[in-house]
Amino acid sequence: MIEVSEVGRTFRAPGGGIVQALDGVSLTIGQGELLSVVGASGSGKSTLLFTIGGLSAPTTGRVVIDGHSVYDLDQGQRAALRRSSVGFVFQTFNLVPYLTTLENVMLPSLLAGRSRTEAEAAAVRLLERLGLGARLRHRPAQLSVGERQRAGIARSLVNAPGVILADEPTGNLDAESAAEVMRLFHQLNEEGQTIVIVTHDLDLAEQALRVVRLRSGQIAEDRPSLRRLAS
Amino acid sequence: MRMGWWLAMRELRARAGRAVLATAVVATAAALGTGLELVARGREEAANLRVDGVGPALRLVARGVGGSELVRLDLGKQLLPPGTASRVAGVLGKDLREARERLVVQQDISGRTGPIIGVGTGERRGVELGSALAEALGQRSTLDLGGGARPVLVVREATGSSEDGAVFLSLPEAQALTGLRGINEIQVFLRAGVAPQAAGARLEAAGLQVKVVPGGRGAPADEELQGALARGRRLAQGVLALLVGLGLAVTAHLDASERRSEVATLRAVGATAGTVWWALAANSVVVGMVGGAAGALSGAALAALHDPSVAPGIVADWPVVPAVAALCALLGALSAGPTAVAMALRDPVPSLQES
Repeated sequence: MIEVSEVGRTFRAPGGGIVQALDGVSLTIGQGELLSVVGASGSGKSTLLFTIGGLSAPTTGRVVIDGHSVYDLDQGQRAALRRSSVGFVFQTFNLVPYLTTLENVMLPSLLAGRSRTEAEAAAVRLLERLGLGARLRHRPAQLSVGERQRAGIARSLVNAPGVILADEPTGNLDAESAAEVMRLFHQLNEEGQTIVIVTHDLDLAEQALRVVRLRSGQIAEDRPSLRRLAS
Repeated sequence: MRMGWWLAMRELRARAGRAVLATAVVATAAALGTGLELVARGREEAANLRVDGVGPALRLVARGVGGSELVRLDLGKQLLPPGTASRVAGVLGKDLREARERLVVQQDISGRTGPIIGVGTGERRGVELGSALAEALGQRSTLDLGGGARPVLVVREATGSSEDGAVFLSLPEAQALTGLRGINEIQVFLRAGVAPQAAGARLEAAGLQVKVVPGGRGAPADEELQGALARGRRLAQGVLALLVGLGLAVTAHLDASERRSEVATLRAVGATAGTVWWALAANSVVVGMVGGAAGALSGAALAALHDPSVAPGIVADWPVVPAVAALCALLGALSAGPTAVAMALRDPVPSLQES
């Protein structure tokens, strides 16, 4: 369960002015939801995602994940919360280039203090499930973009987090790979995984079950998706 | 910390080309520094021997000893208080290279009176002759001393001082021969760059019951020979250490610029700032350590091959490889540290949004 209460976030613009990226955003995301956040470029979608994930402290308001007020925690506790409760998926995959696919997926487990054997077993299981069993020893540069994103998703799942936060997860993928990633998200969601997808692609957004539209840092719309209504 | 090392090792393995280049730069500087240090130490050792041959910076004798007795090397029974040498070491500390205890007395030598000098605790099983005495006695393999014939081991090189007319034997032998249970002179050899006058003043101020006599020819020679070596060496090593530090700092900085997105990703997947710091700094520490060790080994080998004054003992006495490796690793940590701290504490969101 994630509660975002009256969250505001301002930035100092390079020119000297103040940019209001988020303005009094309140949102509750229940266990097992598949939610998309849409909006134009600069509407505050990614800022909201990183704020929920404990990476960007809000100027006002609070974020509570599983009963923990994220920004009342110190840096170390927040890092621990990211390891245990949050999995990030990025548009540009953000795999560590010098680690193999297997090592990239093991990384959050190792950071969480799991043994190498445990971490490796969990990572292999996930990679095999995501069709990357033959790519364990390959480096990110040796994978296709679709494979890289699947590796990124495997990394986000390895510590069995409460929520996956995906920032434009299909933005760099061809249509076929994008559809495959969305199929995977649906499959995970059906298994009970909470997923928040930030996207500017309206068609993609409607594939979630709930759509939140941001405009100028405020929630302009919060409704069930067309897919949900259709079902 | 463990994760930081794990990441650093993988990064080094994957970017081996760059790591090898950085290691080679460190190794070159370390080889130059080590070679220079060892050659300087070899030369210093040789210079010390020369200075020791000429004479000490200071001589300490009993207060009642007069000038003519000093010149004639006739210090007799005027012994120094017990424990004087350790008090001298305490007063001069690191400025003291050696406090050499001697017993200098006039004695019958093969039917004529002359100085005998007891010095050193080693078993000689014979005597050494000053050059003038050897010339006066003619070529001989034994010397009558105190009623017994002792083998002549070696004739010392001429020093131009009255010690050229002396017989040298070990301190215990001299004490046994004369029946004197102590010493009557301490020769003080100072470290490079230490002014003998100032050292003498410190000894006098310390309240030792002794007369401090300037060593004459030894003092300027000591300063001239050792001071120049020490100053040149320190300057060159400072420049080389700066080179290593700057090289590693620039490498760390360039690395950091390229690794912003990677560091942001590490933070996003739950790495603490400490883990990120270790991952970045460990890299430079390893490069410094490996480069330092490789450079020290090759520098020591080249110095020993190139300069005969670098005896194996000098290389072995000084723990050259671990010392240089540790120094370079420390320089690595210090030079990469600020960049690593800045990277570890940097807000990861802009890098995640840019990438």
